[in-house]
Amino acid sequence: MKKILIVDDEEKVRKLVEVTLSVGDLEILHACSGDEALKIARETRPDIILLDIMMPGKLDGFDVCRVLKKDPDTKDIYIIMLTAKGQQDDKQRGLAVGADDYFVKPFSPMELMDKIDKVLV
Amino acid sequence: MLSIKDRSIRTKIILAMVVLLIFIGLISFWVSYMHEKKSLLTNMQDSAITLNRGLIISIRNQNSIAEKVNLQTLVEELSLTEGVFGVWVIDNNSRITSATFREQVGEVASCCFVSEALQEGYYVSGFDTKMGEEVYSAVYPLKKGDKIFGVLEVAFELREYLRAGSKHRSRLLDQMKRDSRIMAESLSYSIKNMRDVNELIHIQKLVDRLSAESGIISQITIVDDDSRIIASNDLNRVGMIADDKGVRAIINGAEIYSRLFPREKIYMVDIPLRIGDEFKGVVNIGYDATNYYTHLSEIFQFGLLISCMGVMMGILLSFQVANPIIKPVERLIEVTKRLAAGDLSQRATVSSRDEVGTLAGAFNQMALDLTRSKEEIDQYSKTLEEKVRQRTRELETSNQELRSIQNELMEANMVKSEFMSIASHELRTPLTTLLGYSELLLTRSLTESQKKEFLGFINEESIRLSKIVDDLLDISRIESQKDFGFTKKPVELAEVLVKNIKFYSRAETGHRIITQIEKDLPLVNADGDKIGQVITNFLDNAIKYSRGGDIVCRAFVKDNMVWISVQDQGIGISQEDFPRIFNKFYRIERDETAHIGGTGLGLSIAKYIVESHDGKIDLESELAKGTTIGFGLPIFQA
Repeated sequence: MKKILIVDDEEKVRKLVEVTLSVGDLEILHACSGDEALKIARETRPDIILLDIMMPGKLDGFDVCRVLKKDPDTKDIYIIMLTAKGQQDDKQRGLAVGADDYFVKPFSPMELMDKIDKVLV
Repeated sequence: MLSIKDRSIRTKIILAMVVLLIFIGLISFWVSYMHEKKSLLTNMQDSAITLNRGLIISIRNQNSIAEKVNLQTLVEELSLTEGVFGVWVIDNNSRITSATFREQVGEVASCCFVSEALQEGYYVSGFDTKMGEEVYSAVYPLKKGDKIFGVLEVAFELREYLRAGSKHRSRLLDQMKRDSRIMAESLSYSIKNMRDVNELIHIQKLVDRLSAESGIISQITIVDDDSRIIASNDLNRVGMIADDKGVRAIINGAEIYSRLFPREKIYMVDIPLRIGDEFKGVVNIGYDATNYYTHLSEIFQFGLLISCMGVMMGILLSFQVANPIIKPVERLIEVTKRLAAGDLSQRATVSSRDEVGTLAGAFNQMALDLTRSKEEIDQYSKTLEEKVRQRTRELETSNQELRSIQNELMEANMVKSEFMSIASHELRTPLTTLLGYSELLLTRSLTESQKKEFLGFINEESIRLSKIVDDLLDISRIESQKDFGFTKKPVELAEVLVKNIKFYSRAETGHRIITQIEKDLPLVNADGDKIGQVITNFLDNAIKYSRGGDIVCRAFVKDNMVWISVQDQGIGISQEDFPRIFNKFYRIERDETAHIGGTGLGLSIAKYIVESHDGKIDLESELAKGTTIGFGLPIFQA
């Protein structure tokens, strides 16, 4: 069973993603801060991480992505930035730290599902 | 070697003096030398002229010197005749006028036949001894008319006669007698044209005597008008042609011709020999110039000594002359050096009215000007320095102002772009919920409870979105200074407070909200809705920035104002954040606030609203203890 980690401080958003992806045969993991995301990612090695950028705590989404992509154990995880930061600079910065894809809030749950399906095939 | 240009003035003056003195010394020496030389020569010349005069007197009676020379020539020719030992012409005073042996000219003839012939007037001959040799001598009187003016003596050699036998001897004797007679007659005939042999004086003797007696005459020659030497202290030269510059000059008409022969140390003077106006010949006298040269050399040595002394004195004198000129100049140089080294108080002493004195005066004037301009420059530079310092201070101040303005601007700019980012995020977050859940509701088959839950989410987020939009609109109005559209009327603030607290349930906020309201609060003139917005903002902040803990809301009167305050037990505000929390878009950035959403506009709007009601905002806070924020509005005066 494929594992997907959703990282967001807004519980409503996490729930939205979970419900959206509940139709597939997937295990959904939750993290509400950068530290937590790193911890879970290292423990469980998810296939995909949906990563918010603006989060409480010392690490934001960019930091988490950079750390994971530098670590040989976690660099193969497919990271989709999922964020309300929709400006061009932010997108470029996300790709620069190694993000594989970029989704801007508000997003369509159906599009997100299509994307994840494609990645997991 | 230093060139003269590089030497000191002293040296130049001394050199100039020495050169001048040497020059003067040499000139005076030369002048005196020349004068002395000239006077010596003149002396000799004068003596030559005197001698000449004496000579002229001596030979005044001689009509023709040439005749005498002719006679001598004749005698010498006769002497060449074979067998003839010698020929003599003797005047009537027994003096030899011409002779084969020239040295005998002038001497008194010693032969006894001569006096006999002169006295008796007839031919006398006989054996005789001449110069240690046996001769046969024949003396023949020379007559002019009856007057005997001299005799001719011819001496024959006797060698052949003595060798011959007696027969031969008488024949030879006869022949000698005859020959001598013929010779004497022919000679007599030859000289018959001579006016008077007696008049011929013995110039040669005179010359010999002169040269022997005079210590200074080393040479004397008498030349006839045909350049033939008729007498000379050097007998060998008599009869020769004098090919001499001086003689030629005199014959050509010069009055006197003199020249020096330095090697031979002889001074030659040529003077014409005149008897009456008639030019007879040339007298050439050579003076011994040894004394002259000795004298000149003495003069030269003396002159040299004097010159040397002059040079020495010149050097001494030039020091004396140079010092009064140099000393003031040196003093002036010393003073100038000290001035140049920076001592502007230096002044030269003006001790004279000459050029140096003028220079010293000008120097002092210059030093004075220098001092004055230095003072001016100092003064000016002081003023300038002060000005520069002041200007720098001003610039620094304005720089600081500019820097702080720049900082403020940069901060404002950063705050604004931060706001853009935040506003975008704040708008997108509720939109994500709205869009996402509504899509789920539309596309998924959901349970009833799920539907209800999702609709609840949508509702909550719609309210949140609405609030954000309200805030943005408010701040936009404040920014563009548009009328906020207050509708003020007397209201009871406590009522407004209570009405707004109602929206906050404990379950929802996680806080207990306690109200403490004073009784009989006066009214205030206010827009209830807007004041309500202020209260809501305060409450939202209290909830957002604290985790649990009671929130106390108070309403009270203080300083003629009605106050509403909200007290929480949250994270507090640091002192440095105090002045900024009312700025637009400003949000406290701390680790514990990172998850807290908000546009950073609430307090800014609240402040604007309170100040628009002539009210005040009061803030008290301590980090980690909590914050009390409140506002007071003036009591309404009916």
